[in-house]
Amino acid sequence: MSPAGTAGRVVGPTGGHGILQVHPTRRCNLRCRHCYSSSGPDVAQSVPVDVVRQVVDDAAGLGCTVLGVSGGEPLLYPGLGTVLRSARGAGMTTTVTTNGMLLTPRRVDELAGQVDVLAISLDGSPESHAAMRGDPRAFSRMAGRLSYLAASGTTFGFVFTLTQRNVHELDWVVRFAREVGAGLVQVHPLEAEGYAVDNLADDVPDVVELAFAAVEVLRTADGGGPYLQIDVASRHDLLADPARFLALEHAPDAPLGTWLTPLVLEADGTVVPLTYGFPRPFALGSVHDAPLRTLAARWDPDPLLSVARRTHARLAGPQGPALTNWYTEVLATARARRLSLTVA
Amino acid sequence: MERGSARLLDDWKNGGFVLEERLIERLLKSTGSLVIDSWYIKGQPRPDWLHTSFDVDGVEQCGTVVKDIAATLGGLGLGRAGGIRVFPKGIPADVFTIELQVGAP
Repeated sequence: MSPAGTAGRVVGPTGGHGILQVHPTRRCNLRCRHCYSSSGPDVAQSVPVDVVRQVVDDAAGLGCTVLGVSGGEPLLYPGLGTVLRSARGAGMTTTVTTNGMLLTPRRVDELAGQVDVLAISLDGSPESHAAMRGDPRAFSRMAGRLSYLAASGTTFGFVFTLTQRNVHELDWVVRFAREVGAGLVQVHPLEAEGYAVDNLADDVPDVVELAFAAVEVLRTADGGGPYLQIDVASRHDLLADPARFLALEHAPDAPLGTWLTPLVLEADGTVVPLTYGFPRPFALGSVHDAPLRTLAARWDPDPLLSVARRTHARLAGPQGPALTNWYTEVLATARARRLSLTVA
Repeated sequence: MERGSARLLDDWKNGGFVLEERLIERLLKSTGSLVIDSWYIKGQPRPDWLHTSFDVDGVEQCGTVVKDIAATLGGLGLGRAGGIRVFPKGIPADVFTIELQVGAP
């Protein structure tokens, strides 16, 4: 038994849920400046729906209990309804992350009963949102869809991408969410991935901005709903519950989805651990080559666990930050590790 | 370009944001498993001054806690006196009492 006991068997602070995150397509009606998957109107890459369905079934068999569909714009993926029905049939909770512009009443009706939480991207005030999305109609079109969505009874919320420049807009986002009946505001730090590498290289929030975001989450949460969540790990969490981050206790024959989360299916068919864009040497493989259940059985977790331990040691050390984005830090360690192996 | 937090501080000052007891309590809890010896909060109708003290074990934890608090609270920009003081206990010092004050008494 680890010093931290048996409470945490999951790599990553995901609340103990085994999550399958699926990016079935990189096609999108927008080309957002911060898009980590480099999606856009002229990007056609996608995974056939039958393949995604099989991945969902396999993931459920591996212990995953949540399906999160992102993109690209999931509403442009023709097989979205099929995939969601598969997941619900397998007993999974489902979430879809969308820019909200295409949420017509017909699409809302189609999603009703298939989606447990609909997450809509919202990057701040209408002006900031439109600027980040590269479309002056991005906010008005999305906002115009919300009254029907709220009336439909589908639970929805907003995902706010925190940058180095926009924590002061979080209060506006929370008030807007409250006004339109959203149940959730999730604050997710910008990742230097995809288009953000070129467009927003200096905008990844540092520890000061993360701290202010945490203060704002605490402050604005006192005003009553919506539920607020910030995707950062505190130093206290890292020190108090290392098993939660390191999968110290998983049994050799434990199903993968019960201790490694999220599993991420990218639009090229590759399944990677933890976060989109994870270096390919750590990937489980491609579902175009073999089913997920086979990839999981073949996969050697030791390189990833080594990376997780290195990351934890760095962050939990005397010079570690008070708050951090765990997944981004693991990704950085993995890339440095891959680079050092390549150089050697 | 300006940090978002700089704009936020301006918004707080202009909007009259002052300390809320629950906020500070949660901030301290989020900082670590600290044993809080005492704390006093003043201000009517809403608190705007906090004084608290708590003990931590060892130089390493002391430095970490002070750094964390400074990072989280030090930039609140309330425009009044405030600060963190550290008192070593024991020879050699193995316990430190940290006093935190935000706002003016």
